[in-house]
Amino acid sequence: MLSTHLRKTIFISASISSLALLATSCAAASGGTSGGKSVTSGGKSVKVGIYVPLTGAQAPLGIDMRDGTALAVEQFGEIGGKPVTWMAADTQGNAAVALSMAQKMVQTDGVNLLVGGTNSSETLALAAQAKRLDVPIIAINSQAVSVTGASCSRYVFRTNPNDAMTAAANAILLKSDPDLANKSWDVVVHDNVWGRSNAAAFEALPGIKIDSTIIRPVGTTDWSTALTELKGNDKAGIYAALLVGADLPRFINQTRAFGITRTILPPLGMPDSMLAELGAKSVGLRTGGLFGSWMLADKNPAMKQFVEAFVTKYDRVPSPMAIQAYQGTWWALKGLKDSPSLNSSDVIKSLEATRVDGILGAFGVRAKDHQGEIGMYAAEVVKLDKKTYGATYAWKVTTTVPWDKLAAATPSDQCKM
Amino acid sequence: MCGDDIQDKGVGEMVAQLLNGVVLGSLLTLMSLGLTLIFGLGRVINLAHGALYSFGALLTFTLAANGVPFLFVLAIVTLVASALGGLLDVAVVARIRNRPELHSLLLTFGMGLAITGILQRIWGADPRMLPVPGFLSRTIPIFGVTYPSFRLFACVLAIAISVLVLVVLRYSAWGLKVRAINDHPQMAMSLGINRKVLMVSVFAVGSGLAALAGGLSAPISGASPVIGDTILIQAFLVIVIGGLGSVRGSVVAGFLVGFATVLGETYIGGQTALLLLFVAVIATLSVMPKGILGEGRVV
Repeated sequence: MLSTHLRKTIFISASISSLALLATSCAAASGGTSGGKSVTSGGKSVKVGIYVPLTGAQAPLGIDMRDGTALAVEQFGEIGGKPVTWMAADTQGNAAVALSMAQKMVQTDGVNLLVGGTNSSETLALAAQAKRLDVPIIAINSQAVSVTGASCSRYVFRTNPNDAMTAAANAILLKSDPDLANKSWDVVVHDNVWGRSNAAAFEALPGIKIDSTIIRPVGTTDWSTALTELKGNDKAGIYAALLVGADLPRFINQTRAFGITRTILPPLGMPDSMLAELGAKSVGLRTGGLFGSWMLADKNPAMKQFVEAFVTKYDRVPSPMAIQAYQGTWWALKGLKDSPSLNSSDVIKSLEATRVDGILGAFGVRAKDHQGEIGMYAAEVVKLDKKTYGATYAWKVTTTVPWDKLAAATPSDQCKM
Repeated sequence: MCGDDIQDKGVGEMVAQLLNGVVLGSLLTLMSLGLTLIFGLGRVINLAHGALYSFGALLTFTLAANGVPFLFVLAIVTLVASALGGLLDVAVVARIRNRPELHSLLLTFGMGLAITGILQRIWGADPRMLPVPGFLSRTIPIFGVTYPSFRLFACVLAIAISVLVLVVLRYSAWGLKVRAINDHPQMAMSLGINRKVLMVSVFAVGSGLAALAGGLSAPISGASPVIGDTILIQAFLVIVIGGLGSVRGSVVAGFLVGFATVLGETYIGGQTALLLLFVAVIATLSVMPKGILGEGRVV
């Protein structure tokens, strides 16, 4: 039996913890800037449940994804006469928490669709229980090949490119750019599944020359030991497959502080908010695997409309993750709208057949494995001549890599639904 | 899990890695001193220490971004965090004084969550990159290698502050009272030393040191509401290996852990290095429960 004093202490601690969680979840639900508020209205609306980290190291990505999804929901408006609404749950970047949140949103809040997956472990956790959840799960950032490969599920759809496609897109960039093609590379990755598979995929590229591979845990705050090793090899490039939330900008910041001016190639690019934080240090970053860039608004009226709406609502430019989230959610809502009912089987069939003309062009999924048929972009960070939509630095797209050049990298026969 | 190729390491790189160890060790020492002082005097295991580090980093970012000279920023951050720490002690921690350590663990854990939540509410989740002050933004030649001058500055300042803390503890009236309470609480109180009032000042100083460590590290590691979480774990390794409540032990252990981390990451891999540090903690608790200098307290 607990002593009176210990009971009081636990009570005080629990109260403080609850206040903390309330403060955090209030920040999460209402957004860090001028984001919309989630609205649920019992069974009288079609509900989208967003499962992303809103706190912790991956929160910057999760917030971008939430905001892109929320904007798509709010603009889509209604389905079958019912308003479409959204709610967001903080997964904290943890698979077990993601599953628990998803279960709550489905069973208690009655969501009709789950959208999210900042990291693949979250989506894979949901996929393992997909039959029980019995709603379609739209992964808008999960990149592990297995999500639509060996661990595929009829309930799970992926609207973003996967790791194999990213590797193929970066290979195309390296082949096409003589400056990059002749370089040798130092590979810097995390000590986790994504990092090691990324390193393996890069090192397997035909003709690539690897000088060294440096592995550090996720959340490394001091890169000095790695940078000391990298110093001196001035002709090589640095392939940095690091988490884009905090690790990658921190690595770049410290690399430049060490006086290392070499080309850095993050395979997926980086959110624009991080370009703003890095400032001039971000100029010259290259990537072959960008999900999208707001600078495409110059040539694409649909993208321009989206960017202007996003900037108006959130007072910042949309990152590649927000762009992907918007496109993926819009497509999913179209699938929901075209479905004869909100029954999961009907919705799944409808999603398999749905095609949209989205902000990144024509989009649909492969029926066999539910992998989105989507291209990627090679890009370089530039400093803009004048501030545009409040941004000074941006990803300037140099080449578009269409889906048909990436499809072979991700064969659908690994998925047995 | 093996680290990078050991055969290619030159002397220059070894020197640079040793410098990395000194820099990390000095910042860890600064962070751990506050933790040790708070435990030594109040028997409080302060799990909110990391959140105060994060607060220091974020406040440093904001003040520096608004043009406040960097040294002034550090002074302001230290004072504000000290005031906050004192307030937290009076309002919250004092209520569980003289209770078993488990109570302080639970309470300060909740406090840490609350502070982190508030930080996220104010500053958002995005990590902030703080530019290094202009006069320290270059690399300079030292011991035959070129090294970022800001890291050397942070190291020197951290060591200077740590030495100052040791000197104050050794030679000031306040320091004498702190050591007296630390060594013999009952005797010290019977001689008229007010432990409650002293604890407020120690919590304030400890919080200030944590925030200062965060502020000094911000141009290196950036600032975010969760930046203190990782270093808190390292700080606890330091105070256990140094001996709970042993200030001198914390200083020695700070540098030991710094060197072990750096050399481990370089030669055997980051995760393995961390694993070995935890093994060292287990060994310390089993074989030398009072820490490497034998001055710590057995809980």
